[in-house]
Amino acid sequence: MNFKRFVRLDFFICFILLTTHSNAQSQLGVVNYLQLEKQPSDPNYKGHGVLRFSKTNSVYTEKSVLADKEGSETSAETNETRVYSKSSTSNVDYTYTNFAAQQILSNERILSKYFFVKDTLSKPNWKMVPGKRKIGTYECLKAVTTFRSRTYTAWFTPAIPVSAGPWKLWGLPGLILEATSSDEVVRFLFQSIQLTPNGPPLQAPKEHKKPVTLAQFVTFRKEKFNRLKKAGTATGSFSTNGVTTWNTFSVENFPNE
Amino acid sequence: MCFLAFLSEVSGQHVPGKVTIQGKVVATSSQPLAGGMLILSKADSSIVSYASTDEKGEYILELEADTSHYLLTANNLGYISQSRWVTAQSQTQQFQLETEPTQLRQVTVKGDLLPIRVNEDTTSFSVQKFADGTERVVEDILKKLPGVRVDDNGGISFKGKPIDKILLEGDEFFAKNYKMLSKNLSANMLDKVEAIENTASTPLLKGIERSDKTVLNLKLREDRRKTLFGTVDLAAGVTRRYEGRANLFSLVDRLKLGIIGSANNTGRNPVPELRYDLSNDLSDASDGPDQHASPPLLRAQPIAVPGIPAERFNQNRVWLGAANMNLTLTSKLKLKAFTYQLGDRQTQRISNQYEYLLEGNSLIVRDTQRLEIRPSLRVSQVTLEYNPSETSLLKWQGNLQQQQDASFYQIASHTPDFSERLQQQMSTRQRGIQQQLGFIHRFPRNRALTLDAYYQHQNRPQQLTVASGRFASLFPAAKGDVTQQIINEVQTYGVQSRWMGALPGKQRYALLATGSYVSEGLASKLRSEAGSLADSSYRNNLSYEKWQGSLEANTAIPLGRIDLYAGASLNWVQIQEKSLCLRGKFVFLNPTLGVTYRINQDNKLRAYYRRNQTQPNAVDLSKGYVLTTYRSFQRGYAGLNRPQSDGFTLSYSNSDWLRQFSLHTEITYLSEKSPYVSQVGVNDQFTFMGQLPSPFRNDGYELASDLSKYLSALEVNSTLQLNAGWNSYQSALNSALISKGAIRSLSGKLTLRTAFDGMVNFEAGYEDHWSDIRESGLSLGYNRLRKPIAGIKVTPSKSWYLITTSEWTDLKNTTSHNQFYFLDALIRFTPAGKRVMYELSAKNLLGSPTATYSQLSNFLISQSTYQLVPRYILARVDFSF
Repeated sequence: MNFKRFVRLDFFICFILLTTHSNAQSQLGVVNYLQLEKQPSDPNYKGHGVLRFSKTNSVYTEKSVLADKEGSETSAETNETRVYSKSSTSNVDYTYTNFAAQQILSNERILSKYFFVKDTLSKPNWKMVPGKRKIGTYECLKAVTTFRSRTYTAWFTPAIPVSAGPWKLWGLPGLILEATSSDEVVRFLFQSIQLTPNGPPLQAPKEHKKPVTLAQFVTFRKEKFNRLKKAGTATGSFSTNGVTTWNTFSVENFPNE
Repeated sequence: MCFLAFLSEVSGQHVPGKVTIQGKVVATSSQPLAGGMLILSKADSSIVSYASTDEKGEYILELEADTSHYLLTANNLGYISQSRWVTAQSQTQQFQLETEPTQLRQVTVKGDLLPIRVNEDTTSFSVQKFADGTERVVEDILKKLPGVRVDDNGGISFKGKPIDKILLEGDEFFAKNYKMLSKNLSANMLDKVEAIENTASTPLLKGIERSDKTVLNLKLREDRRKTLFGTVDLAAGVTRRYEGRANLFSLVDRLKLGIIGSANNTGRNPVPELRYDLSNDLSDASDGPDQHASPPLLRAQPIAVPGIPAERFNQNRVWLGAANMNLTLTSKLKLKAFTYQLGDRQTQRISNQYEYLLEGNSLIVRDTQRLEIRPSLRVSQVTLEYNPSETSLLKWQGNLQQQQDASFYQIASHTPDFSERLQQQMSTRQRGIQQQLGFIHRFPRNRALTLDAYYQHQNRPQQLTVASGRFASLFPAAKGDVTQQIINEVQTYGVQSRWMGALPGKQRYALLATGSYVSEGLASKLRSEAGSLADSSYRNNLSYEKWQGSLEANTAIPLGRIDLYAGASLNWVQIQEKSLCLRGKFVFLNPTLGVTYRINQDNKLRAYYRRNQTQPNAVDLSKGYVLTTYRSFQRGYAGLNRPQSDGFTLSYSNSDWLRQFSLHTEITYLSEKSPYVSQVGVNDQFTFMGQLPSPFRNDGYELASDLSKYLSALEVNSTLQLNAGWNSYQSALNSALISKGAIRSLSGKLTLRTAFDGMVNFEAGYEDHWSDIRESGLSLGYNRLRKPIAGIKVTPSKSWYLITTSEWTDLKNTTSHNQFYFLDALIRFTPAGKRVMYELSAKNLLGSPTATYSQLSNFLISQSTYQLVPRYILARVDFSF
């Protein structure tokens, strides 16, 4: 009796494993990027981006390099002390793209509050331009597109034939190793790649919150910043030359008004 | 309209317009391949359209065709890509892809952070990834690079092969005397080190000349390349010790200049090889002619103790001055010149104990030796290179060298029954000049012609004076000193011509023709106070001439993963010696065959066979004895001996650069024979030294691996080195066996270093060597060295650095056991923003008690003692402007 139950349980577990495994593609590689942003409040913002990709989907996560830093640091040149404390929240910016199902899920932020955004994937309209470069040991080709009001130049390698790339840049006939915007405000620089054949399954993130569409998110965002301005609160603001502003910078280049 | 369209279809003319190409991609099992990529590109590789396959493996490509043909490529991870040319018309193209035969390895590739980058024949190392701040000279950094080995004398090899030279930013400095750079140039100037294999001797011959030479190219930091830069080290210490080193470099524009100066009395040798044989430095327009110049008969040998660097017990006073200049006079004319001078005075004191085993009794002889060597060396070389066109090079080179060696031995020895004193003074001088003219022309379709002519003159007077009562039995007429005088003069003239080429399929071929004439005179005699010693065994008066010519052909054929090499040389030699009335004419064929199999990017297997027959030089023709030290004579062949050697080598090498692992294994079988040998018996006062035919087998295994990748979680860096050797020898005279034995050795070295971010780091290491000699079934003794090392590194701030290392060396063999303990400490202070660095260092802080060490040498066992002295160094200044 016990043995039969055990067998049934075992079979059930195997079934679960098989089905979950067949739904999720196994990860084929991990790419590390340095994400540089010229934010108005922090022109030298540095983030560490990690892209996990498979043939049909990818997950990109990004975290500031200072996120886990603790303690205080005094700069001798500007005589300024900065205090760092480890972020209490475990939320990170991430983007999950499923090329086959044409779906994108991302963790968008308004100041410190995260929203779960679910939208249809739109493929950037890439134009091939002449140019060859070697990044790491990969021969890369060049392509240009305009996405979210920024013009990006990307270097991709056909040697790794997957459509993935950092953040929401995708859709080239090879893995994007580097991308920079023409105004130099956003840059994704290649640091390292680890190819992991038969890696762990790459799954869509669980939906903890109710998902909103991108259009809904943009509306929320505009409303929020307008309310803050009217109330004159200092929450999430910084002051430059006596003028109070909020860090409304986003790689997405959302409209603020 | 239809008719026109039909006509254009039939005639092959494609009307540009919208084109749709669709199809399906499946695996060989017919399973559809989703997530693959289809790329459509033009002949110039520009991509015009691309698409990915859906779950059914299907794809659709659309484009506005503007040319008649496109290349369609199907890519899918884990499968072999396929490409085919398609016409610019709507069509269906199906693909069936095969899986990749080798599994995609778990591999990590870093961007610019890759410490090692391999690009065909060039391996590039980022110095900062391997350095830990304790390095002072380039050699210290090279020792830390995987695949690079530096031996005790400073000789550098890469992947088991000795390097040819070191270039500085692509420029040659000091020709092939690369130790000048590796032992004196500051380490902090380096940014990258490139090891370039299979380098042609000149850029004109690139792609044509088959070469297995390896060079190292040092690339300097950006800030060092633009201005005049250099370093000055000055140090002073107790017991009147001093150490100074200065180097100044300028690599700007047309003048590339390097000046090195060094002086010390702390035991360090700025250039270990004080011998400068002209034959060793034929840096030439093309691959120079093969020289067989004989080495001088008399050489003073400094003492060497295994496991202990000479620095620890050598008492010296050395100075070195060297300058190198490369000047681009015009766009076609270049001048290169260098000169260096070196003077030294080394003293070593040793006491020896000899145990003679005679028919069950043992006789113990004790002696104390004092050895003083005073070498001095002066070398100058000028080279003019003229490029009349982009495809030609004309080169003239003149070389002058003068070398002097004086050494003085004083020995007092006693046995229970008697005692005696012996004094030996040796002086050797070597003067030589060399001139060489070379021409290279590169023809279209990868062919080249080289022509060389050279002249060389060497003059080597040598003298050895021995004062000892021991000679009474050999030379009854001698009273007091016995002096051996040797005069040796050689003149060589030679020409060489080569015709080389590379075919489109990358096969290479070369045809060589050489001719040379050598005239050598060797005169040696023994004199004493009583006059010239009459015994003709000790007199030689040779004057011989040799004419030589050869024709050689070789070819290298690549066949996929296999590289074949085949060559043969036909040699003709005529020798004439007047005093011995010797005449001879020989013709012989020397074949060479080689196969290299590249299993994959990391693994290579190589098999190589070579037969070499040569002809003797003057010293081999000598009839009598030549006294070479107070204890030994050397005897020649007194005949035309033509040694023939057959060598077969099998080697396997693996270098996984991403994991920083390299392995090299080699088995060599070498057989040497000669038709006639003369032998001299051994008595208890002299050591026999002569050449006998000796086929022997040698297995050497070398394994070096960096385990840091595996221990990275603990942040510990470690290095492991293992060596195993087996050398068996057998010598026979006229088919009668004389000796048969084997030398076995095993050694290993493990170093562990922590790499914590904090203030303190530790280093621990252990070295173990074991070897034994067995002959005719009897063990002649074993040698064992054990050396544990422990060190602590403290960096309280960026400016301060303290390291202390303690070493314990345990030397044991069949008859004795010795232990040495050394403690070294170094404190370094680098004030922020300043160019000065201060250093306080001490070596051998705890002087080891009077210790003895044993050396196994044929049938003699000796023990030595020596003194160790602590020293301190004071200040060091860096500058650049």
